[in-house]
Amino acid sequence: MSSSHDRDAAAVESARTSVRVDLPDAFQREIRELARALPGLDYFAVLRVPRSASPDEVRDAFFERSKTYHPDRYFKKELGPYAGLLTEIYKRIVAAHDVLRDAKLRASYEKTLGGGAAEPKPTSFSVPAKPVAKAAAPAPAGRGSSLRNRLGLQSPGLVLVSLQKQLEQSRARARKHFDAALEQKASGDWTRAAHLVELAIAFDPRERQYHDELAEILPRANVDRAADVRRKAELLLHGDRAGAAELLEEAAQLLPTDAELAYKLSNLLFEMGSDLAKAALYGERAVALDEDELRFRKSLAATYRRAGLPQKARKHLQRAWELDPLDKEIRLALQTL
Amino acid sequence: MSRVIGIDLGTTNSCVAILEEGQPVVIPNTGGYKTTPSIFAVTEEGKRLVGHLAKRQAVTNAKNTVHAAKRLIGRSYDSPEVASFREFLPYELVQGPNNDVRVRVAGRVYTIPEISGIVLREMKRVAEEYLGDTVQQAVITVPAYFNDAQRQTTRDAGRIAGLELLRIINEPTAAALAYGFGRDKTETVAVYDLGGGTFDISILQMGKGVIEVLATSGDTQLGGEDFDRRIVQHLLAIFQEKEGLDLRGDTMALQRLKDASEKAKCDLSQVASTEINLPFIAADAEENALHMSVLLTREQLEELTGELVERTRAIVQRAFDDAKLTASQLDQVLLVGGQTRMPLVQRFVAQLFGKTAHKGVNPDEVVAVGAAIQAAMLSEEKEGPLLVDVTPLSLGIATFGGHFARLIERNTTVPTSRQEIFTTTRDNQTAVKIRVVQGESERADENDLLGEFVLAGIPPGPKGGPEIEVTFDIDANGIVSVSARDLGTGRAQSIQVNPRGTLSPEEIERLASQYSQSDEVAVKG
Repeated sequence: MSSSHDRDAAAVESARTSVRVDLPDAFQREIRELARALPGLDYFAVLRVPRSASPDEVRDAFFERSKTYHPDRYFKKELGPYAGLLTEIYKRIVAAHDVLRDAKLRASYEKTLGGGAAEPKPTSFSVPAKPVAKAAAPAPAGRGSSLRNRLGLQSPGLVLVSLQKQLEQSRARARKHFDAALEQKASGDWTRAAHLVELAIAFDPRERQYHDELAEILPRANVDRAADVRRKAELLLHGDRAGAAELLEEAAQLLPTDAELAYKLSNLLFEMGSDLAKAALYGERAVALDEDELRFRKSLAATYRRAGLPQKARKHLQRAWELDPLDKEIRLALQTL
Repeated sequence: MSRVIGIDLGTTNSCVAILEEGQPVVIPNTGGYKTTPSIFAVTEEGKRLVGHLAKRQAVTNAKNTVHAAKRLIGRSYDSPEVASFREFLPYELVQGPNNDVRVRVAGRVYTIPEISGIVLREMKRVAEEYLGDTVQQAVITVPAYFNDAQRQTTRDAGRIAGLELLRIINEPTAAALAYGFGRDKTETVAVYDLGGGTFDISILQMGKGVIEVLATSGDTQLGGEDFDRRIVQHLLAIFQEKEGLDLRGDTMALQRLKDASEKAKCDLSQVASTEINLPFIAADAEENALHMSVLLTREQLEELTGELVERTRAIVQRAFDDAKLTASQLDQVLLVGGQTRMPLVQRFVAQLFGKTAHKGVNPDEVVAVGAAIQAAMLSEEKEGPLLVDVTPLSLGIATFGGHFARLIERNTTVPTSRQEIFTTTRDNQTAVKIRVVQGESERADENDLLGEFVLAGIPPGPKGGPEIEVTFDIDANGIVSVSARDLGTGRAQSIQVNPRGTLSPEEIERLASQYSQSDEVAVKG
């Protein structure tokens, strides 16, 4: 978000002379300065209250800031580039209020700020003593800094609080799903367990345990799912071959190392005759998984032959012949190629 | 000079108001009524009627008279709400191409925003006639508990009516605005809004020129119409027992029963008992005329409808919990909506909040007044309280296993945004599907689906690697939009929000011009 702030600031600078803006010059300047300083301001500074402010003072301050920065106040005015800036400023004011009005949230926020002594009430939005120049620079690409970009906030203090909170929330969610996954695993529902682990990973991709668990569960889940799919395919075979083929293909994708399945699919596609290329693809897979299985070779050869590729057919027929020189079918096929 | 009005588009009745020389004025229609029934009808001769005239011929033309369209706005045809509402409905519902619900009136199919648009257009006309001037802009109110689809569809209705909607505001907030107008005390106020079709409770803090909503909750399926229905069911049962005849299939009889029930209900707010008299309601097997004459006491009514009122208790409690307040911390309670005139409701509210409600607001008009004040403030920049409202429903995504992951909690102040990082779960996954959902159930499919987004074009790589930053945004109207950015490449991915069942901009424009040209709509109220 820092880059968007910078963009906005730049847009404002360049647009300042060309776009009509219905705000007094002084206020325009104030908005620009505030937008630029925003990343470095803590919530107290945003609301302009001292650290010692009571809940009522916090609320009153929120009301006062709202009256100045809520975009509705300038509903009919031409704001040009200031519309976006005002909205961002106001959203920050709302966020500040959300935290500071809740006793618990305020307490944990104050802890992250450190520096116990009550600060004098800031009267302007000049950059505070703490150096924040670095934070304002656009973050370089890469994992570490993109974490910082994660919440669109650059001030070190703010990043820590919100980032921590967000990370905690995500991790907690991930943990919840993972625990649920383990329960499902214990009761034997691999498919559901796999889904839940995938979910846990989505929320906390860096947790090693989840990846390990998924590696263990997924094959079993795939087997279950594939078995389920095959069952359905069997039912369809007699009536709806196209449907059966689709299901078998789904199963084959789940179980890339199941040669029999690939062979079966290849045969079905061959019989249907509509997609010989795919039939060949799965036939090749069967052969690759088990080079010495006669049926696989014969079937693949037949497929290539039908597809009008005699060279490839011959290759597989010859191998088949090596496996079983007495097979008459093979000899006949070779002769008639 | 074009004026700006505030419109309360109610389930049963609508009201329009304007600020004149700093004072709110409720605009009466030509019949002198300050509210107009939200009813649209097409007569046998093909003439279109709105308001009082439409209501008056409802009995003889029930099949082509549409009331309570607000109960249907923004809903899908196969939703349970529509199914239950349909039960005693004399007019026909049909399924639209987006699975939205539509109505068939005199052989033609209308979308719900069209019907509401026709009612809004009538309110616009009422205002224009009174002012002697054109009206092009308005602020319209919706129940605080309306979801995104209902709000968007209401916006479409406004456009069809030829109005530029400056803002959609929540009804309880509008009521608070009207109440607080000219007042400067710092107060904590609860607004208990029981209208024709919806119930809302909002808890607000006001003072120093700001009205801030702390929490809001409600039920978009609870209102005066349900009270009427209980009476109708009671009458049907009595008649069934006495004459052995089920009147449910007779649309004209049903309409008469409904009208009589509504009238009786209102009467019983003033008197202890009333008689429902419907001669020639039906005929028996020998074609003899059957009449209905039933005595209804206030006690009976309270027994029939007590459960409906009781339903609001848990909803109010939740609002208090979310606002982190108790009833004792309230300074004021406002009653809004015609149904709050019922003695039972008033007693219930007094007991629930531990104080009697403020008597100074007119429950039928206060919402329109609030809308008018807001309209004046936005358009003419009059001095007035700033409204700071919340989103009533949690927003999040559907995740694997059908769970609902909350991203923006309900009662978060708007405008607001929230960003979340998503990633892939399979190697070389180049697309991520995100289903944006609004509601409170832990199960995503029990909530409302706002849209599905497929973020494609993710560069292939190991799973868990890509970081897609998705921003969820809710604006001051409570309307949701979603955008995404691939943090790795820095590219912004575009996502389409496809709100369920709303009309395309072209359709809306076509309807708006169609209705502005044809003015067969009967005018006299």
